[in-house]
Amino acid sequence: MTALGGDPASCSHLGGTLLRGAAGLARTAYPLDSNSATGRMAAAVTGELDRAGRALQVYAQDLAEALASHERLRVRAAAAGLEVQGWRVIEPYGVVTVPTIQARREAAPDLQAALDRSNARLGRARAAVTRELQLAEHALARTAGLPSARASGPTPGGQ
Amino acid sequence: MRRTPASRSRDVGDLAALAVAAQARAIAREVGTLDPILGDDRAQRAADGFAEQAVASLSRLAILAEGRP
Repeated sequence: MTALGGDPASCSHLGGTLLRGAAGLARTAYPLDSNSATGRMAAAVTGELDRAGRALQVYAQDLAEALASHERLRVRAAAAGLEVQGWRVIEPYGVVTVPTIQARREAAPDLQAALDRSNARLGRARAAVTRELQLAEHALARTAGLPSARASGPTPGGQ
Repeated sequence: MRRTPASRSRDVGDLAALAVAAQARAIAREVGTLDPILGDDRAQRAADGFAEQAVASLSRLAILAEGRP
């Protein structure tokens, strides 16, 4: 089950910084000979900053949508006398009337299905941003002739 | 001494390289100060690893652009 959490604004901030940095670096490096060592490295670094920046911006959007969707579902669940814990709909303890029990049982499957879809979407978004960031990290390490900061995750051409 | 088109082109390239170095260092500084919260351990490790590598690569680019080995 996907953990519920994260801060979309902080992801968007880093993504935006990377995209602006990539665009600025590309403009500044434009006069350089593209076959020179500096020109080649500037182009490679620019490309990876851009890739990671885009991935983080997309993820920030997906995360914000997932958190908003979770909150909407929590409110809907509360209106039906249910609670949401993480990605599960639960029936709170306590004595309730028969109509309340019926209302809960009618609402719970739809709410749970919506939570499951939201959970799955967030899981896919997290897998995608993780993959893109790992690929960008490996590519940067190769470009700079440096060992990768963390030797984990997918390598280009494989997972 | 008259400056040839070739030497002017070299000067433009040198200035651009110095500007690239300054910009690379500025981006590295900014990236190093940011702390995104992805909300998942694996994604967080990927983000931290990328940021660490980006700072190292940008610093390496700056050194290269300044013509230092």
